[in-house]
Amino acid sequence: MNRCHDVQAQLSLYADGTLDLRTRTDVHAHLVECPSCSVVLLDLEQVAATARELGPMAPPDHVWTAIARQLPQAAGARSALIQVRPRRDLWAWVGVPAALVAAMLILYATTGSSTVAPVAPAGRAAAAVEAAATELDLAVHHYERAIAELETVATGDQEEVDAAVVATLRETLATLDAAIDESRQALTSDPGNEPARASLFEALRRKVGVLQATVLLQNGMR
Amino acid sequence: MDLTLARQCQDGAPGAFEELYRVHAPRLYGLAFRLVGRADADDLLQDIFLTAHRKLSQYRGDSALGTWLFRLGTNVCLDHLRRRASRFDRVSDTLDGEFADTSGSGPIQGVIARLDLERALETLPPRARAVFVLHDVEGLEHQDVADLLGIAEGTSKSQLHKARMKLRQRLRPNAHAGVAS
Repeated sequence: MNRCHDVQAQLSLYADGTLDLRTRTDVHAHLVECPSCSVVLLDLEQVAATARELGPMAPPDHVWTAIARQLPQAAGARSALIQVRPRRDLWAWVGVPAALVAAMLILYATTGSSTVAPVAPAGRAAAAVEAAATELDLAVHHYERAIAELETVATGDQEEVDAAVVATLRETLATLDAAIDESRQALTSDPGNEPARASLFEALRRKVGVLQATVLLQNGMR
Repeated sequence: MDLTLARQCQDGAPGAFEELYRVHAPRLYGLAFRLVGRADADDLLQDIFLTAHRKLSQYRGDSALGTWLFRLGTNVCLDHLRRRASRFDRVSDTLDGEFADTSGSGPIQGVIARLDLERALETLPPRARAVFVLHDVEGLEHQDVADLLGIAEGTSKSQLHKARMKLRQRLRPNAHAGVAS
């Protein structure tokens, strides 16, 4: 038993070929006569062989997006345009009178400004386009941070939901998000499209406004 | 070519850093995933590349850019493991038990599925896991593993053996441990 114990302690080095000649010879002599230790060696060799086959792993797409967002200069800016998505759990927090919400939303509800202007003429300098995309990314990033922070505050307390209020808010923010998506799509093909940029920022500004007003109303209800 | 790409990244050339990421991220993600686990791998990969972006000015071309990134990535992951260990007051991150098999049954049947090994890897304590990943998965020599982890070369060798035995045990449920010492 002790002999097997001593030999098995050497088996990784034996498998890796790093034992000195004398020790290797002793271990080999034991393995010839000991099926149990031979089994252990085979298993260790399989473990090591399979480990060598473990290769690179493709990271999720969102990792690059997050990195690009935080770089001082967004390399590959075209691929780093921010996804501004609604947070579904935003809805489970508010107990706000429908009348107040409706009054607030009159101020912030989207209108025809969600329509996107035609694509700007072709022929912009590549450098100017890239610079525009970089600036856009940074600006959208600031809005997205504000939106994320507001959503975090808004979802901090869970109170009974007024279904009519929730429905109104959901509809309004969905309209805003559709406008945001539409503008982003136009900007993906032409980052220098000024009307699309204006539409995007307008929709983001309104979304921030809706969230800010909602948080204020929520605080007022406490 | 590595120096050129590094310089382009530092200069903020459009697409340069993304190119660097596309080429090197898969290996570094695999490293992070296997060292720190799936829950933290995404965040660690971000940290690795943001750190690389900040430190690119220090790259002199003495080694391949991939090698430089790999060492940087390893250090980021190991720092994370050290912080996590201190947070949870882990008493030991090594394998100290004895593993020896007196079973008369046959070897692991067939080829070990890579997925099974990946899952078994998650059960190793941090240091043993780090030694195994760096040596067996990434192909580093024991001296390099020891340098990265701040341990003796002999410790690296013993931890590797214990990691392999532990993995073997996980992958062969009917094997039992505990030869009388």
